[in-house]
Amino acid sequence: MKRYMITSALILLILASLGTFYAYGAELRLPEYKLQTLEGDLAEASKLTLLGSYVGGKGSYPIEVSTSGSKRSEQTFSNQWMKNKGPLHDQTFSEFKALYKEHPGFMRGKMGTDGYYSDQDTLIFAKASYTHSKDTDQEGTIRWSIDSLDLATGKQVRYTDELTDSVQYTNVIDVQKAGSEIHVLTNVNRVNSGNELIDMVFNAETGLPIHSVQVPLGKPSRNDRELQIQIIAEKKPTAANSRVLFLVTESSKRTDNTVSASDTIPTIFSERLFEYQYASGDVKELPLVAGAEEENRPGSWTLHSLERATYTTMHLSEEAVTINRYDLSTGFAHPQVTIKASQLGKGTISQAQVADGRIYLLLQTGDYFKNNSMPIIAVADITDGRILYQGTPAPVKANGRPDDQLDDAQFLNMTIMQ
Amino acid sequence: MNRYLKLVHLEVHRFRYALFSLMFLTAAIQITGLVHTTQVRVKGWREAARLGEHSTRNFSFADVIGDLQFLFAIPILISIVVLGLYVFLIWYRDWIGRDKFAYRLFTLPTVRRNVYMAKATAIFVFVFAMVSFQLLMLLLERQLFNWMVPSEYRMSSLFAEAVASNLVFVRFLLPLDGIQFVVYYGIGILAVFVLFTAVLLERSYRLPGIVYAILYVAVCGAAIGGAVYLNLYNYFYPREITAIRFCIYLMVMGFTLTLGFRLVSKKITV
Amino acid sequence: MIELVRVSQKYTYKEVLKDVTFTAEKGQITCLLGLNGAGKSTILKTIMGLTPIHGGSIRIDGEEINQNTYERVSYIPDHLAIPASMKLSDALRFMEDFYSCWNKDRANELMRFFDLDLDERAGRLSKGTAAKFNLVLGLAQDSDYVIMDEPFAGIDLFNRERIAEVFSSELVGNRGVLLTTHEVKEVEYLIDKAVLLRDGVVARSFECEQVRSEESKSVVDVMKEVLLT
Repeated sequence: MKRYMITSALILLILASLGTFYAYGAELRLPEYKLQTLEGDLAEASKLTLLGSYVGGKGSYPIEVSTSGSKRSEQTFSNQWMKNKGPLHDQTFSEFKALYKEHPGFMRGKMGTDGYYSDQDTLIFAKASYTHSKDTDQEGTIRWSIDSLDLATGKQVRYTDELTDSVQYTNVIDVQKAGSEIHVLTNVNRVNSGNELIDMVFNAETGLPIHSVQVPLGKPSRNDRELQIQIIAEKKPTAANSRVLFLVTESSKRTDNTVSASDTIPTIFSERLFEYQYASGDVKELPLVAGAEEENRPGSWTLHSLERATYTTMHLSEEAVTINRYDLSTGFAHPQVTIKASQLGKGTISQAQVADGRIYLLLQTGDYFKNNSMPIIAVADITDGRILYQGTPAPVKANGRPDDQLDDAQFLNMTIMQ
Repeated sequence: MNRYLKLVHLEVHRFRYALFSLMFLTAAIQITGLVHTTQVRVKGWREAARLGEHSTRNFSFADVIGDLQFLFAIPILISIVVLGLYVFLIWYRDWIGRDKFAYRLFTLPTVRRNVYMAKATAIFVFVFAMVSFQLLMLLLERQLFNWMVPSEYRMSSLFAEAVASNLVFVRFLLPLDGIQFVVYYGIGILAVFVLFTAVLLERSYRLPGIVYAILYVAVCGAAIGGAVYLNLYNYFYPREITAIRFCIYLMVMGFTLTLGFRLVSKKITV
Repeated sequence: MIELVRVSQKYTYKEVLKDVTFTAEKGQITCLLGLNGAGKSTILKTIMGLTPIHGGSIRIDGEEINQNTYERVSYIPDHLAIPASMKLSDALRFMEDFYSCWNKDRANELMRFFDLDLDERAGRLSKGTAAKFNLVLGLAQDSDYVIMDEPFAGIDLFNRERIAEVFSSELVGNRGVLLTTHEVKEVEYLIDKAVLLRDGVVARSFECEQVRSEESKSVVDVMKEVLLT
């Protein structure tokens, strides 16, 4: 066998070195972290995931940490090739995971969470797309397609409708069912004239288009002003809701040739909230956002959400979070809740989210680059603002990384699984 | 030992000096670069320490490898070019030269596909041997780095970090993901077979064979490339796309080997 | 028996061989004769499967060419097909490795007979020595047939005699030999059967003894008659 030494040696070298490398050496291990309780019940944080990066050593790697530990959150090659995930699988709404599992055929290729609707009888997905005409002078076509799955029989049908128009793009904002009608609320964006909202109504039985409603959004009161429309639709993508809200903000017109920084922040003149009822097509102004414009100082912002009949506004600044909730069906205003950063000891509020009766807060406790500080997360009860949990990510395992690199992680975002 | 393995050894043996030269070149360039860069770094740190400046962060082996992107890539690129040319030369060298070894090779009492497979295997041995040698070199270079840099300037790093800090390693040569390694080198193996079959088309049909060979490579290249860039995420689930790709590769592989074996045993002219 | 039946071969539309039919018997020496480019070497290559045929059939003892053919038929091409860097001892080792019909004792005997140096490299051999070593590689196989392409080409008189000696010796024995040559005069007394080729066609094939006794012609006479008219 001495004769075959070169070949045998090369093959042994290959097996030994590649084998060892891929078995032990190729894993780019990062320290492991875990959410650790500072105070309260750890179970309150079970739906929360902090997103950030590990920057110790060379390079930077996205990681996520929750109560169960940490992992690298980038999409690895193996993941891309071997996993059976749909494109919406990693969305914060866990309902999609179940939908992929139960209706893989229907869910195939249906992107965009806003196009979904489901109740006990049907699962619907609507899409609105715009195709430019080949001739640039001609109008293009807006095409709606609605796929509906009868959950009892498994029968799948597709309705379509088309409209010739000249627009920039279209997208579905909300899909609802009211009686035997399917409503597809569509945003149509036109060059130089802002957005239009069209409610396309289809017959759920026949699939035929019944009519379309152009939702009136009002007009700017003066020529040098413009309207910004923010649509507040049901927060859970597939859930039913009889209404959609839209917040109309009138502001000074942004000119294209703005130079100075002060010009880029438009002056806000008014902010009005409207409600559109799918079933009746009625638009009604709600007297709810008085005083919102004065809160819109730099460094603070307001988030709006609609969950069933509850409309929630969350005003956020570094120092405090204030939450107002209204029951739109009764007109009842829940007591206002305010949580101050000072209540939580240290840090400033960088993010907050409302979900399932809880307020989730992310506080940054210092400049990362100065002192490698870990953030604090807090969970509070939405009804009275009581703090139920406070915690912070902490390294639990070095995984071969030197001690001084263990805290080289920064967490700037959080997601709540719903 | 069976004749296929003997043929593999024969082919490896015939290329041994070229392979060792490539290894030597790789070692020489990389070690020279590493020693030089490390020396400059250590000198800089010493200077800073002498002036009482506080450096924010020590440096690791991975940092130095990261500094040597280009220099480390050079021997690798040379090796790729040499091995790439040898994919053709491993056949043509048997036709040219005084010995015209093809006469002997194709009258050996063994099925001809063994000759084909042995030449392919030899190429794979060379490629993987070079990759393995690079891994060994990295171990050696890390040891060298640890000797050269006083521990007060040195930051520890994982082996994988050093691999990840060179783009040529992490993107192509030694991806840290095992599946990625299998896929990349699987496609590479497929490409070698396609080129082999193209060479055999030329060797079987000469002038018109060149046209067939070019067309064949173009079709297979389009199929393999198409499978890589297959963008069907809007419709298929990831594992389905993987299955589709795998089927395409398998079809190209099956067709290429069938055609290659047929050419080498029935159509080739010495 | 090596049997060619209506073998034809084309090379880019040019017909190289047309309906070539002949046999080469075991225990006989058959010689393919013809002018340059008549297709002599091509025929040998087709028998060894080194170039495809486009019509007809080739059988060796009734079997089509397959991997075992190479154990039964040893081929001695017109050059030494051994890598130049290989030592003769390595080349013998190589042959022993691959051919189960390799006869080591016979190889040693032939090496001695031709007075060859085991430590010499194949690339450094003179033309005559290379031809001798080429014969060693072919004859040391315990094969039923030996095919030789121009075994005498470019070889001086002394060596030619030494090679010719082999044909009548135990080293060839009872094997069937099929060879091509230009030097028909030198081997005329050795050959049993001649196949005359002209432009890829068998112009005539005959038993030498028969022609000598019945027509009182030498092989060269027949050759001149057939090929030059």
